Amino acid sequence: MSTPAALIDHLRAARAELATAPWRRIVAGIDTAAARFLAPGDPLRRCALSALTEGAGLSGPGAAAAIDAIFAELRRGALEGLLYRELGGPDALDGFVARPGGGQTRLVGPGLVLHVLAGNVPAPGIMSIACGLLVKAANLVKPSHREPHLSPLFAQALAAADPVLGACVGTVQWDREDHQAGRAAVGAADAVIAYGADATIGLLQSWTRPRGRFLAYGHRLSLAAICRELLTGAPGRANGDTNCPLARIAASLAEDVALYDQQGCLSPLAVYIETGAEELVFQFGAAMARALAALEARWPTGKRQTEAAAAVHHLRGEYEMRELAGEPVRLWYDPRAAWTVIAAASPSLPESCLFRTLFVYGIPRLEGLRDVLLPLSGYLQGVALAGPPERAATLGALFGALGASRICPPGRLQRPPAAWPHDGRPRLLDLLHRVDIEPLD
Amino acid sequence: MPRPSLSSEPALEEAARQAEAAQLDRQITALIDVGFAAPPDEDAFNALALAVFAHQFRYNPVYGAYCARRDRTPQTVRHWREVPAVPTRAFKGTDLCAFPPSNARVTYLTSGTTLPGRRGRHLLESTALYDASLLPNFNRHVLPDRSPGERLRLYALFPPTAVLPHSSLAHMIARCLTEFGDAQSGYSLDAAGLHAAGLSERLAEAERAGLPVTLLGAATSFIEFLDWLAAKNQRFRLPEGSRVMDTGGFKGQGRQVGPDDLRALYGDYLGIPPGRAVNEYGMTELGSQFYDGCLADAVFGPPVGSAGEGRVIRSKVVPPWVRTIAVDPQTLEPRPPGEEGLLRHVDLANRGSVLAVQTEDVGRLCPPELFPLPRFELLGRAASAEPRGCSIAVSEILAAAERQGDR
Repeated sequence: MSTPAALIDHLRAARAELATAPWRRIVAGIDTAAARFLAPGDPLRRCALSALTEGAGLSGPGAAAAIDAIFAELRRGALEGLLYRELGGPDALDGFVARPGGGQTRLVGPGLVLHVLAGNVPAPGIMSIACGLLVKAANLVKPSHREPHLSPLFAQALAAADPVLGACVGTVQWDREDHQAGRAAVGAADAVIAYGADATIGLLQSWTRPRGRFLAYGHRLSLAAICRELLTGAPGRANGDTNCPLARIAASLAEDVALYDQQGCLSPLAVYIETGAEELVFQFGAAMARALAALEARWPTGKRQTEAAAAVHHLRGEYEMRELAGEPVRLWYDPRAAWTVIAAASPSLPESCLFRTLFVYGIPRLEGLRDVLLPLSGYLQGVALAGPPERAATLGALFGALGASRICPPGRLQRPPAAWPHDGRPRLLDLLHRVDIEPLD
Repeated sequence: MPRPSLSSEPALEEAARQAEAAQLDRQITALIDVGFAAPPDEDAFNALALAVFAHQFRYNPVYGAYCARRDRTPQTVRHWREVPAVPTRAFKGTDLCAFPPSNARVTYLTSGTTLPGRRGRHLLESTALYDASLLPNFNRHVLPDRSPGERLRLYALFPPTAVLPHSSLAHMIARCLTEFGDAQSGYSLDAAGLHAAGLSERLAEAERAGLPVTLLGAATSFIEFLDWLAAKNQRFRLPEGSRVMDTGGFKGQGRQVGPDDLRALYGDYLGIPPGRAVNEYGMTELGSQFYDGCLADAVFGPPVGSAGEGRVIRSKVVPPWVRTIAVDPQTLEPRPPGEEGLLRHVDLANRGSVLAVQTEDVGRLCPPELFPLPRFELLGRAASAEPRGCSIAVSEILAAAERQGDR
């Protein structure tokens, strides 16, 4: 890895050619690179899998599910969806196009984007690099120390697909305490995209040039909700019958919980089920427990670090005692595995310690979440919603007011489309600047 | 002993419980009185531990149910290692006492948590057993060179019990001041905070008079005092025999000071060498405490096998009425000495609550042949899991909001 200054010069030089490449060529290159990671025999896929099992600590099947989810959204169709959704049409990236009402307009990207990635899940980082290329920027990537390999592997695949793309992605690393190196990299970039803890983001932002762009993707969490309209039939039907609607919802939500071992900003920490019936809450808790147990065989939980493992035991201890003391809570877990389900009749904020720790709460009306979730205002990211279309707008407004950028069916929460506005922001537009030429006569 | 159904004579049941508890306390106190010099009696400890377990199984119904569903009962448990350990956090879940909660005369609370109404509680009927464990252990490891009956000058960098009535550490320090402190011993901290100037004056007097002092308190308060001294460019050469006992986390007002760095500061600003700085490790949920062995070693002789070892390993002494093991964080299976794990303590001084307590603290047992009494290295205290990347724990959100005064 060359020194950052030399690398930055190299990237800026390579960007000259990228700046004149048509957007279709860039999309084709990313698509080809992504296909490598989805192809079972491809050595790059094998390397990516081992990067996630060793670095991110996911199990083998968990890593495979993660790689499939990440690179499926970097195929041509998904990328074009993103371009059309945000820009109305990508041609303005290639040159001036006619403006409605006269004149012309085009979109110009930054010369160099610095991406500072977080360690919890690898997906946002890869999408970040792709977005940088779509706006025709050179990209300097600082991966997390915890999982440093996936970004360079993606860069390798890009280089093989199209040398111009590969030349515009470089990787750099520095220690958290090495503020000098961090400052230099941040100061050299035209735009900085930072993922991670608020403290990290604050520090990076303080180093940004006054005219530089700074995009932050900070602390977020996600939830799930089930509307009363889906709770039809006698409660007993929820027991063991894997075809009943609640069992199917539980199976889908289990996937949302399990992907990335619940460490992502789109991982649901709790399910709010719209009922006043305590028994129904506990039956759904049992259904979630069965679903997570079944999933453990298919996607085993990865290795937890010491503090995380301890936190799981302690959370179980607290709730087991509460259950034994007669409180209206129930607890299910597998002592040999990480997953835990805690159900409580009244709604609260989920103190999940991640690694597949899911809270199930009952609430008589989902609209009541406006008050229950108020302390999380600004932190909500996604909601997996099981309910009829006619409730979507009201609940969407409620969750949106708390910061949510995404509401989707259970099972899709951790597989956002490329067009998803991460943290509610337009990923490409935030990097682009628009040039309007008004009619000159 | 079979688990009895609800007695039709609650008064008789309570009388029986009190008698059994008193009997156990006498036996535990007798074991404590044997002292530190003799090698620990494994059979005596095990027998007493099993008796305490049986008592708690019967009279702490929630704990009894917790054990029963694991098929660990007085019939199936044959060794203290098999006694089910309760995570410290479970003390937040419910009152874990082997007596009717209404009998509680003392309530110790854990440090505040962000969700209201959810502080851990450790209830005691009396502090007798707590004090019986506290005083000889403190004396042995913090004041090993004290003559019997001798009174020393103690200054506390911690508030009195009137300010923190539910702090077990406040009680501990208060008892030590009463038991070992002379008439001029006292507190340098109250509800208004640290009285650095006053403490500084007292230390100056002690220095002039050649009077050794013992400073006890929270590491955070020591850091605050040392920062104050640094700002005033004041330093002391406290008389020979002076010492420090510190406890708790090592974060000073947002800045991190590691234990080694803190001990270096004691040397720079107080003239107290690292060998006379004893760190204490304890918790609200546990009746007994653990101290660094360094000062006792200097007085009673160095540990077997440590001569010429080079690096001094700071290790905590497990008193003879406690057993400590390190367990695998994923499986909770015991780890052998030398391997890191989560510390679990089996403490006879917890006769009134839960014998075996599982912590989130990371440590490793020292090789048993090195020391006459078992010891462990404390490698890390439990911290709420740091948010990794963009995911976040709810507790972190609430803590951040509190810090900003949003609530």
